[in-house]
Amino acid sequence: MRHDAERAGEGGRARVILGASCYPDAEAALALALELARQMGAELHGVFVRETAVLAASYSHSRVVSYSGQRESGLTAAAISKAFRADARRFEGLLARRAKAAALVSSFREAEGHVQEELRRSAEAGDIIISGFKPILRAAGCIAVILAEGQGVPGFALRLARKTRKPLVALIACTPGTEQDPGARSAGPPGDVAETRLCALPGVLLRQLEHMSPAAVIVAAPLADLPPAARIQEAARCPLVIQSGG
Amino acid sequence: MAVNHGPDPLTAASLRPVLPDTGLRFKLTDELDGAEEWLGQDRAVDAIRMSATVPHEDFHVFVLGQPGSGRHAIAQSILAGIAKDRPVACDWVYVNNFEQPHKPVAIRLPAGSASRLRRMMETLVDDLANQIPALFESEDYQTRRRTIEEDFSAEHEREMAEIFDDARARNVAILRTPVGFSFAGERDGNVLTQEEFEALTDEEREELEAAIESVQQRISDVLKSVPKREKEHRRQVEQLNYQLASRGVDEAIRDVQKAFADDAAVQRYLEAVRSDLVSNAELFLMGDSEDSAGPFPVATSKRFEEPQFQRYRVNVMVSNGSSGQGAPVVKEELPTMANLIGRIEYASEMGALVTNFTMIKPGALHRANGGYLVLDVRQVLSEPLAWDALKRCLRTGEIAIYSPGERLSMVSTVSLEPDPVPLSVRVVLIGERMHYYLLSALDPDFLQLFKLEADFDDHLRLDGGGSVEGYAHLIARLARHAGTRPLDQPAVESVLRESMRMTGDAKRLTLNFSRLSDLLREAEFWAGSGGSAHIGPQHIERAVAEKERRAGRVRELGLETIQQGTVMIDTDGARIGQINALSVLQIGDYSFGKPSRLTARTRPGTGKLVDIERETELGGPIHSKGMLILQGYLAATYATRAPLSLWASLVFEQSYGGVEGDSASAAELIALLSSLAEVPLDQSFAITGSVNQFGDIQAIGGVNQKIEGFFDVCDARGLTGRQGVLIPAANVRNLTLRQRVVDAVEAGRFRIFPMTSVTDGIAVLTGLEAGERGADGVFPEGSLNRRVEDRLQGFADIRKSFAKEASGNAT
Repeated sequence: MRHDAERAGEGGRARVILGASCYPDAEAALALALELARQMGAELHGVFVRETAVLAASYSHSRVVSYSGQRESGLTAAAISKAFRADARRFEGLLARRAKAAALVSSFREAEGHVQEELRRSAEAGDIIISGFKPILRAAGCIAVILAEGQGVPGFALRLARKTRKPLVALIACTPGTEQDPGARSAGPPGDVAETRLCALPGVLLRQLEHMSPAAVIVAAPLADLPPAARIQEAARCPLVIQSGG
Repeated sequence: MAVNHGPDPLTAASLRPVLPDTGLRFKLTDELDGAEEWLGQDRAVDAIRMSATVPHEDFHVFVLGQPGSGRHAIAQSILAGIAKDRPVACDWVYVNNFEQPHKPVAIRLPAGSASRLRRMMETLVDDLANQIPALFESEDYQTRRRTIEEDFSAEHEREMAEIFDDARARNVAILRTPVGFSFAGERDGNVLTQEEFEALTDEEREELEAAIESVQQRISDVLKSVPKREKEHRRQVEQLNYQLASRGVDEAIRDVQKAFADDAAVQRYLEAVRSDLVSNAELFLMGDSEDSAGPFPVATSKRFEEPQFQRYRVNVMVSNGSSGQGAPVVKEELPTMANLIGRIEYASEMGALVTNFTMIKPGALHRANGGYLVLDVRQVLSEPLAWDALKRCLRTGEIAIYSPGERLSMVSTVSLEPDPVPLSVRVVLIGERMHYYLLSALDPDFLQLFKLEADFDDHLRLDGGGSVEGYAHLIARLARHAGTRPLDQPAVESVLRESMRMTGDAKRLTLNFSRLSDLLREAEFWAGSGGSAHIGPQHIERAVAEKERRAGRVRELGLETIQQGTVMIDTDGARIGQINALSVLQIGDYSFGKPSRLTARTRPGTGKLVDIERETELGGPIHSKGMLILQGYLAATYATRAPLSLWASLVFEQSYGGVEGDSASAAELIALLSSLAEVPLDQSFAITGSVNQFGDIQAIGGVNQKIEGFFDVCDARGLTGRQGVLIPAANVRNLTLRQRVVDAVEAGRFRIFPMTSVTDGIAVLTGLEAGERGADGVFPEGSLNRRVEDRLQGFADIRKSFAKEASGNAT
């Protein structure tokens, strides 16, 4: 929703906040973040989060599967900490370089906690928060946008779909029993939205996302009416874009 | 003393050529049609014609003759006449070799087809550049592509969803870390800490660890299968793309295939193009730059010029479609190796030299293939490696393109090895005789390749069937070609005489068209200056005189030094042992005669004849030969009973340059006899002619210039009526003297005597009879020979008395 983004800029420079707990997730979402920041004229802010859950569960360190599927063993807490530090440095460097190349203002910080919580904590009204995630498959499909009933597709989502030449699929979190209502299906201009799906229950929404293999998911609907953001990302397994309401 | 006046002098009429009754009946050369270009060159013309039509290999022709004889124009005229009735030569193109790009393929095409193939290939690329993107954007393609994508991702997503569901159900958290997925226990949505994990009962812990192990294994399996799945996905997409591209390419290439249905080589090429187009269809999906996608998008034509489509271009090497009818006749004015066999050009890209089949350029052999190639041998021989390259092509019957650097192994740049082009050409080499004879002697390949020689005559023989009328037509044609005003009949006759003068023979006309044409143009200048409507004889004579005047500085300088007495030449009186000899000097294309004083001194000796020119290394070998012949004559004529007890010296006085030739040997002999006989020689005469061992006088060269040279000296001092020149009788036919000499002879103020033997010269120069040996074996009393023999006998007696005295002293 373009209006929201513009409102966010009224109190100062809007920000696109990209958060990740590892370098591959940050790298996979950086192009998306740069494009959104360029569209909005926003500052690009990077947050690298050392997951406390990972650090606390040291018994899990010996049970790791690399992103290419190889089982790793013998990793120590120290090795995990070192890997976190290395990824943070790489993320910071990459962010600075790409932002400079795109003539964008950028900033970076490290935190410890949980990615989604840290992003919510950092965000102010009008900011766009992106939770990085590297999809397993390279050939990712559409851009999914989760809307509330009667809500239009945000302008930045339309522009992003056009720019990346990916179809835009609207998932409307509707009230049970309204699935057949034609009015509920009008999510945006017919030429811009490739498909509209109505999801009366959170479980249906998650099940849709699990099988869509999207390139990114944009959450435009109020989060309160939806499953937790971490659960949505776990289902979609791709970068998650949330428009902050403050 | 016996008196003999020798032979009669020549009449004025015999000093200039008499034109045969030509039957010329015209006022101006406008009325004449103009002769065949090759008047008098039948032998050479027949050889060129034979070479141009004989079907056997290696019957190339070497046209030899003097520069200016019209070799180039005549050869090209004959070839053009023959070529127009012969079939038009084939076209040749180079195309890409898709399997071995460094070996471009040469294709022969019917005449006029090369440009058509090129245009059709350009159209094909343009069409595909529009059609293929459209095909790939079509709904049909998008649907099929989407189906593949969905099939590919659906299975993976289903498996991943099941793993995550299973993990949630078994309280296993899947965590993303910098090193990969990590697995931990979970309770109420929170990850178990180390302490919480350790607080679990053994049973709970085992159950959790088993669950973690299971999830870990499943996720590992799914992740490991991703590359294989992606490979299969790529294969399916490529197959789809291939099917779609094949459809588009087959449709587009059909027109080209139909147009060249009968040409197997083109069909093979088109099949290779088809395969490559289908395999590289993505080349057509490389969109235009963003700049072109504005409100004024560029036209979509000429996409074939883009670098990625260069591989489909057709490099037309030879296109004979637009060159008219007949076989090609090519003349290469700069026959460098590259201009003969073609070359491969290079372009600089990022500091490296790169090339491809479109940068192959044709040479003269390509253009002349199927026809005739005319080359100047001097130019071919003076260009490095050009002769070698030409011979190689003719010997192998094909044109292989390589660079001089490759030939000399000097460069190792990656280059092309284009298919050699089969060669069928007839080469016409044009040169001078020296080139022909040197090549024959020194190059063993030469006569194998150039089996025919077309030897251009220098002269047209009037007594050998040559026609003055034909020559007049030739002059008319030359005048027309030179753009001069017409000549009247006396002017043509004047040109004929000048032509004879050029040949140095009253029975021959020059075939040096260049000199004749120059003469006509100069006469045109003087005719124009005088406001004459046509060229008359006075203009021809003016042109000749002006030419001589322009070149006459040295001649006049020589004459001046004689007049001043710096160079001593007597033109009257008499002196023992002194005679006027004559020589010819050549400066550029101008030659003139000049008298030289020749003296002889004699005394008793051992039979030695000293040629001072030879002793000082100023005399050439032919001059020395003349001296030895002279010595032979002396010994055989006079030393029959006693040894030749003579010491004699001969020299050209005031001569500081080289002396060559034997045309002064008669003068040397007479000077020597004068010295021996102590009989003075008349200095009013000059003499030229060579003598043999029997005393016969033989012909020499430059007789006209020599006579004129002595005449001018005498004329400057005042002609006495006694002065004259003795020439070999054999040279009378060569007399084409200038009018001033003829007029002086006519008026009895100058004389020219023909000599057949040395006795003629003796008679004129001494007034004495030479004398013949009588039955008693001695020469008649009072004859010159008697005096010579008596003197030689005296020398022998002196020598004998010295010998006795020397032997007496010894005893």
